[in-house]
Amino acid sequence: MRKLMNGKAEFVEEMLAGISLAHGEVRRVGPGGRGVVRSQPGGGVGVVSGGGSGHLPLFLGYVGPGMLSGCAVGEIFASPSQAAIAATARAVDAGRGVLFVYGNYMGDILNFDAAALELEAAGIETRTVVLADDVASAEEREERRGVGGLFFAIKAAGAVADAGGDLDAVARAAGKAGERCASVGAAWSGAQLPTTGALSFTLADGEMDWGVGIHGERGVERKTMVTAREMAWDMVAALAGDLGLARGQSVAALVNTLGSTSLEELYVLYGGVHAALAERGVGVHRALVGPWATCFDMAGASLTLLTLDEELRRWIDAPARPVLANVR
Amino acid sequence: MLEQEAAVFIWRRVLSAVLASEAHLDALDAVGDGDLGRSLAAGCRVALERLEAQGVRTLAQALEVTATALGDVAASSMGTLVARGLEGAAGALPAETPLERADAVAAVQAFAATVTRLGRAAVGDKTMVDVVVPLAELLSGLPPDLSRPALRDRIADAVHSAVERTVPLRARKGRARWLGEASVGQPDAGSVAVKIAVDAALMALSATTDEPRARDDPAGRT
Repeated sequence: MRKLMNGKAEFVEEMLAGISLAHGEVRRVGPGGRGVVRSQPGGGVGVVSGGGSGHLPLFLGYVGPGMLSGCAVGEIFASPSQAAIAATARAVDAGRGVLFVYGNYMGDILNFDAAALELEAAGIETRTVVLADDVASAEEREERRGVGGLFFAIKAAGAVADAGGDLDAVARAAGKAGERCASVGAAWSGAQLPTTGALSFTLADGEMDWGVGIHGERGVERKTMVTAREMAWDMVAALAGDLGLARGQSVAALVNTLGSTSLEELYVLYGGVHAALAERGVGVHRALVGPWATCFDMAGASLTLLTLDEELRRWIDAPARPVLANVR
Repeated sequence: MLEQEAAVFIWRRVLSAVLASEAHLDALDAVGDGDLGRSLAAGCRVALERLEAQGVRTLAQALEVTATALGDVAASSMGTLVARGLEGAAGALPAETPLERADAVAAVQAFAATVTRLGRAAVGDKTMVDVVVPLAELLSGLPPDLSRPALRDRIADAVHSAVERTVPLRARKGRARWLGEASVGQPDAGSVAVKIAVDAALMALSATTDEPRARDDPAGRT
């Protein structure tokens, strides 16, 4: 195994311990310290996400002003517990309610829903927005996985919450961003998970998997590796129909590494994305290039596009200081 | 009829068996993220500790305690579904009185109904539903006068064949569906976990009911 770790059983705990030692702007709460919240509470509606570990900076890296109030942390690729979610929500609740925003995975849905019922009984109001933005994962939107689009939903919700919006306004912002974004990913290696020490799948040289998610799973189609320009073209084409991209529109583009693909490669890819969008008459209002939703050391990249209007543009441009990501 | 304490003893055997299968289940899940055994074992370990610490004496309580433990430390889809299923099963059991065969049948049916509904899976999707649904159906169709040894054989056979039937299937639910062809040719890991639990329960049931010492010591300990 080529993985820097002490042991798989303590991997998540040691990651969390390191983050809290390095970053005093967040603190751990709840059973086992499996909730991460801002050390300086925002005071508005709570925006809480959560999910399995193994995708940093998603999810807990987005805790910070302008984005998440708190985040519940699960084991590698496993949902956080109901108790961790409820404890996180309690810690961030300032009496104005809590929004849950997370990806479309069964374990997460079961545990967030159960936590929502528990909080409701304790007098804390919640709303839920589930992201399902990965177009390759299913035809039906409600069957899709939640991937990079979570960034935009969290960004929109955090902007409205920090501006003093009420719970319904915060939920509407996350929902609107979620509905107007779509993602697609491709990989040219599997991921080596700390749990198994083995590659999640193997590819021959010159092959790639199209339509991968962020759990080291295979893609929906095995293809011959293409150039960055062709990749950009294919990714934009895969999203254009779904988003109904039209001439004159403006988008935010999130170009994301799945882990080991370099920033250099991502910017080469972005050049192609920008050109492919320009060819369709679509302008990029904002480009975010870097690690946003990863899968350990998987080689690969994903593109998420968000179609903007006036208020989405405002929410995406609002200042934010997430603990593990540079948004500006 | 089965005394509550004997039922709790059987349940502890079930937890110990799943705990002991950690490496086996991890290996079956290696095609996925390789943590099914570790996550279920962590849940069973905490459940066993809490059963002991809280002096739990009824099966319904034991299932509730196990559900909470799984929810706390094994909140994966499988762990969470099993937890909700056990809560459903606990609700179908008598709080105090000794257990009748019909109670066990009702508990298994409640478990199967809960995991099927929440997991939105059907038989053939290559999930634990492939085992729990046939098991619940078998139990509801059995003649009430069937002897205990015959009952055990029928259950063990049914669960064994149900697991075997998952081997050629392609996973269609959860993250495993992205494994595609890689999921074909080996049994579903969740179904194997259910088989391990059922086999342990059947073994422990013989220990508590067939052997003479069971009359003296309902927990079957020597």
